[in-house]
Amino acid sequence: MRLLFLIAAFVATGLFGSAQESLYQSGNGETAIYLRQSTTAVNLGDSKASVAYIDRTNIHPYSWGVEAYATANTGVASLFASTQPKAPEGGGSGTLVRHYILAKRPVVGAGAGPAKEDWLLVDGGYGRSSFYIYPTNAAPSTSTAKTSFERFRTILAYNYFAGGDRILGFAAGAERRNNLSNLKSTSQQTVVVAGAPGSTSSIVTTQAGYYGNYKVYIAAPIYTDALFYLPGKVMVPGFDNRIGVDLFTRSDLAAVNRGSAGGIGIFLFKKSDPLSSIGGLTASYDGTNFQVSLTAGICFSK
Amino acid sequence: MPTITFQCAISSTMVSYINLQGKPVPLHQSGTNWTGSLKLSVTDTLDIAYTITGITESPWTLAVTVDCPGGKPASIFSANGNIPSGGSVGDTKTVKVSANPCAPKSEP
Repeated sequence: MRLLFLIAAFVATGLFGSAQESLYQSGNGETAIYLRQSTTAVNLGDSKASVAYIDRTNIHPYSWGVEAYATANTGVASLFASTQPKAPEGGGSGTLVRHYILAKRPVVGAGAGPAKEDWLLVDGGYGRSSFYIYPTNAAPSTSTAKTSFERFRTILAYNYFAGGDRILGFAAGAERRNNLSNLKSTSQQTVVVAGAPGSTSSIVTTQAGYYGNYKVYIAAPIYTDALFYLPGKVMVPGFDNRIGVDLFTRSDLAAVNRGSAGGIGIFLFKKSDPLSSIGGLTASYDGTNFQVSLTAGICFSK
Repeated sequence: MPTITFQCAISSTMVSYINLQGKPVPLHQSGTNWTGSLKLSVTDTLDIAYTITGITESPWTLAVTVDCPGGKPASIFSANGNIPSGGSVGDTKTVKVSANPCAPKSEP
């Protein structure tokens, strides 16, 4: 039954994609593969909407890109994830890309040979979020101040496209993070009007926040992706989309929150543009938690 | 020798290249579309060399045109297909170009 539900959910993601977006991401929006399209995207697994623009001219070795994003409270499509609260966050990032590092630019004309292209990039990002923290062992208070968090990220990534059917990605860097996903999502209730004696009713206001020992730390993320396109004749019944399989790892080498997760993603791509994913299903396991997430993309740019 | 501005448009999932008379045309990317132009002095033929890369089995198109004032662009060369195994397709062609590609073609 669970398998049937999974298949149905996977197929349903195709319906969300009125347009397409390039994204090969684990359920939490992290990726080591940086594609080069102007896109507007929605990642349902991460409740993240983003707008991106990338500027590239084929004969120039450098290109650049910018992205703005906003996230909602929690992932809306994690099927079997542990509860991992997130605060709404807005931010942006920029990338500077150098093309053809190890691969050679192809000969133009007949005899070009198999396709090979690689690119090395620096990705810098900033994000800001605000939320209420209710520390452990502290009495609830109506005057709890909002806590703001500023996220900074610098990632160096290398991507390699070869043979027309595979893209490999490796990314490593540093990111200022917090441990919000490890805290408990809670609500503080404040009684506005107490009920009459003997009554169980009262009027309260609630304020959502996070309970636990809040920490900010510097993470050292390492991501890897290996995306393989299946032959065009392999299709989901009823759909003519291309299918890609992404094997990925997501690790953090920083001592504060050291850990690693691996997983597999299966994506449906627009047949005429196999870099544009219209939806996907990712499954990951970090040694403790098993998470399955849906990802759907929307794009106004072709 | 007339000078003509050739418009080049390639649609493919990955980077693509085209040379006219041996000169590379700078193509700017917008999604799957790569477009650019090159002004050249031509006599009566145009040498075209192109290499298009992409995901195997995905479609590609190539069009070389000349903008005509107040009318449709005049087609100089076009080709299309699906990206073969290996992820790239390339070819060289020589096509005839009239001194004024926008001039109405005479009826036979």
